[in-house]
Amino acid sequence: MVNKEYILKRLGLAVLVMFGVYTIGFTLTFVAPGNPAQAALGQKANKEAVEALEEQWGLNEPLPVQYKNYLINFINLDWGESFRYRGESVTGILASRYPKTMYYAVWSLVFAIVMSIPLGLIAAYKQNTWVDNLSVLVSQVGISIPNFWLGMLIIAILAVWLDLISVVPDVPTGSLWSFPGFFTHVTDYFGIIITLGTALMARNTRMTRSSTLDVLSEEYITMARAKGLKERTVVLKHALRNALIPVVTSIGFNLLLLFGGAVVVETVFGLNGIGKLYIDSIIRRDYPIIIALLLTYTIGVVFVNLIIDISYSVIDPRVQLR
Amino acid sequence: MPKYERLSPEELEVYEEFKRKENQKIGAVFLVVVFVFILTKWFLLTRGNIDSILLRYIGVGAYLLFFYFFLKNIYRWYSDVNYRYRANPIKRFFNRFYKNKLAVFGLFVAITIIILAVFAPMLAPYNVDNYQSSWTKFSMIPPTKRHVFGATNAGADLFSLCLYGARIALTFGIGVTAIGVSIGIVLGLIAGYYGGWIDRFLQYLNDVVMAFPFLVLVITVMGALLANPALRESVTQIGNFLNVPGKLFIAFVALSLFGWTGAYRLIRGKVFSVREEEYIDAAKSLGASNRVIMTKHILRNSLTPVIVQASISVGGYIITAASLTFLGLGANPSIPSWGRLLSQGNAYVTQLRYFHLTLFPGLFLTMTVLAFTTLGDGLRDALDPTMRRNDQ
Amino acid sequence: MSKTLSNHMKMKKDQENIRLSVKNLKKYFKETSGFMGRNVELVKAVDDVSFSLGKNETIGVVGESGCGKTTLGKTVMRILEPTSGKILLNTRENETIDIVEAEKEQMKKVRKEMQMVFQDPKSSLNPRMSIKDIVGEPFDILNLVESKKEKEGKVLDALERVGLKPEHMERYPHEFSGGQKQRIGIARALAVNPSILLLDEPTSALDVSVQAKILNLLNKIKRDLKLSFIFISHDLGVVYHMSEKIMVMYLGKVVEFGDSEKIYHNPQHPYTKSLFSSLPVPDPREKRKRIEIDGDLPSPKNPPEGCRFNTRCFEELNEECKKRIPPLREIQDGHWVACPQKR
Repeated sequence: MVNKEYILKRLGLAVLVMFGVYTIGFTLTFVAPGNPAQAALGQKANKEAVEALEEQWGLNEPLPVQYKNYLINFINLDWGESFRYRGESVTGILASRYPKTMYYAVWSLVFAIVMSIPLGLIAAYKQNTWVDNLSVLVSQVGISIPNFWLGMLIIAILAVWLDLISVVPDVPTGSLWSFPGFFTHVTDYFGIIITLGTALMARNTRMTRSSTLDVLSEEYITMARAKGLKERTVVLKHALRNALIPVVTSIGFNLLLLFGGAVVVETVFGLNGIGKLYIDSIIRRDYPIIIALLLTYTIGVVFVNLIIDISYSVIDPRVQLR
Repeated sequence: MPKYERLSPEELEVYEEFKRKENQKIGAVFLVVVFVFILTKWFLLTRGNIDSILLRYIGVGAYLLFFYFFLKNIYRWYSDVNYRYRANPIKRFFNRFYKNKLAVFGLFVAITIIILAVFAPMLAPYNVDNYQSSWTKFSMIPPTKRHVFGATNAGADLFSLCLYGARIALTFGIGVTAIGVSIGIVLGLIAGYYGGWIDRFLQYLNDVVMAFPFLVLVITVMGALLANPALRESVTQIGNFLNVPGKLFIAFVALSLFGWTGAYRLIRGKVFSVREEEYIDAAKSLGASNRVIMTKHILRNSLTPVIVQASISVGGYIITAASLTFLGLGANPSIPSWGRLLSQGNAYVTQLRYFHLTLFPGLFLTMTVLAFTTLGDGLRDALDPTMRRNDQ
Repeated sequence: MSKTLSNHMKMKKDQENIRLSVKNLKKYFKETSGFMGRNVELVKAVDDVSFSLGKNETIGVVGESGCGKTTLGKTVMRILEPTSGKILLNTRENETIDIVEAEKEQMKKVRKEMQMVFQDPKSSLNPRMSIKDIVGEPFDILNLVESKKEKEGKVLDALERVGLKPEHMERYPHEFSGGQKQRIGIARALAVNPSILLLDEPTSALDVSVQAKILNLLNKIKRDLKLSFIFISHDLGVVYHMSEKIMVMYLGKVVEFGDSEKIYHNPQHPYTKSLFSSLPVPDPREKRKRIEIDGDLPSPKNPPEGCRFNTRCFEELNEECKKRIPPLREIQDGHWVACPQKR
């Protein structure tokens, strides 16, 4: 069922895309001389010290050499040290930030899916009723509302006014991914989970609604009804599975949205996840972190997409991977 | 086909009469609006009574009335071309569009925001250029009669700032969309029509750009442009030439650079499907050049989804631009923008009495984006009913 | 008169009468597959086809779908670029143009001489253009008219010729029935006043009742305007009804060519025989043996060795059938067959 040649082809393409991402990332960081060594040592540092640091970081080499070195080092998992946090390794910084963002990204995804699929299904099933109109309104507003403003509203209303949630949770990352912690800490991150998940929820509601509408008008549904199947069986067994295919396949793209959203929303909530790290690294010209974040992130997205594509062919036998 | 029956001469006469009357009504309303507007301005100038609430309400009321007639009659102006038939495509388009109440609302808000932005200097009750020194005693006051939205920490009238913020937001939204769609259409046509290595290369570029979240890509470009003195200088130079402040122009460039992928993908896909149609072969057998085939046949049949997507992406770019400014990377601090106002609001978000700083700019921003999103959706339903099968 | 002289005279007369002669026309498609397009396969859609079309004559091209007849039509029109061969067109001004080599200016002349009517009237008309624009398009592209008014007049003429009314001009394709759409397609082809019309299954997408009307219309047009037709169809009955000559194609090759009466009453190639045996016979008393051929059309990507029909042939195969691609041989005056067993 799963074609080996296809997977190899996709992997080859993924490597090419990551190469492109690296090239763009490298061009946009290294070509712009923000003089990170000077920045790290302060304006008053003497010239020799700055030059020594530049040599240590390999910044004195010509650009093509740096381009090659960085790539080789990255592949060898030798990601160097941060320009900004002197002495800390990039790997260490990423390891401390990624789990946090992953944590609320995963919960946002859960929130979005749990909310959107029933809403979209019911809306499509009861087309042109108030449920449907409500779902359309919710999804339109959800797509249109800027996530950072939503975050500010949630902080002002839920945290400050009604005092229902805490604003700045200080949770050690280790406990987030332990067994009880994974569930108990949801309340601490409730605000950001809702904020990040709303746009996704809106998108998925729309998608579920329209794909369910399409499926419900197919002839095999009419056939199933004509056979005298119970309405429940028709909807849950025949319609649902086919209606969910576009939702499932867009999970990879959804993750992309979540991480893009995290860049702004983490600033609002004052959380030190990878979004905030990325902004800070861009402003402070922390090259190794920028490159490492871009590449690790792309690898993640590309592989999630690949896995989903393969599972897609399992769900829908008509899809042939070529 | 009864649907396309011609109107009889009597019916035509009735129709003409009806049209004349409607047009007279519109003209009257338009005159009233202009009159009220001039009157308001005159009052404001002579009395020095800057915030006469009554006149403000009259202005808003006249505008709403005007808009109602505008929506009711807009299709008649167009349908003149084809009014001999009872159900012409334009009439059908408006009938479908008006059924979607959310889309009508979107159209209303979008046009209102555009008007507010264009006439901001006339409509804003307070000057926003030199507020820093003159209004400090109003610092952070909550909404009052004089300052309907309250004031910022520098004491500037928030309502006026929000009006001015619409200018920058729309410039970004519409400008970036226009550039992105133009580039996307050209690249999509080239890729779809010629195929081969050009197509493969563009597809690869598209894949790479799509691997980034859009905001991340823009932030990275902004970072590079701001950090590199030479690049910054050259982009600022172009900006100065176009009379746009430097940092703002840099943000504009960063957004436009990658805004082409959406339209590109749509057009490319459409070209691939339209290319197989026999009327392309027919045009070739008539000796049509590639340019004619691309513009007259392929583009004309591919534009609908692009228009829809463009309308929706206007909202998206407005959010992206606001996010950039919110993070301190976008427009210059001296330029009034919603993102800038919101980042100020964010500093006081934990104090409820300063909530107006968060609420009003955010409302403006959200409503504008919502307007373009719902407008796009309504256009989709009205322009191409086959896109959503169950909506007759 | 000696025999050779009369032959010579006949040939000369033929030469003068010829509108279009196609010589060794080939159209190969490259199909790539596999990783980074490593495997390249050659699809010989039209392989070494030659024929000539006389003045006021119709050649019917028949064959199963996928035999390359539509590709042949599109290649002759140079919608597809020919791989090799010659397509010589004699214009009304007695100029001979090789369409394969023709430059832009010459192609313009070709377009004025030769036009095409397409198979699917639904997709051959641009849905966003009004009938006036569709039928008027040739005038714009070939710069045939000076003014809008002149164009409108010519469009009206063309519409009238195919039996459409002037008020149809402002309408859009979706407002017409299939038969009307095909009439519009014919009007567009006739607009430039061509001398050759290439009809690619003009009736196969239509209802049977409409088919007859369109065919009659075409016959009338041919008579009135003294046109030559290349009539492509999979429907033998229609082709016989329309054509003076019939060309039978199988997997990109011509297997039989000749006067339609001869081929209809005396088919020689086994493939032609099987095709004709499937035609309904109007006289119920006449019994005709139905010949059924086995299997499907082989893939044109790797056609069988030797005679391309040998995998499905019902006659006894000999060595030659499997070894050599049989050439087209004249077995009778005006009747060519490509079968090694017929001499």
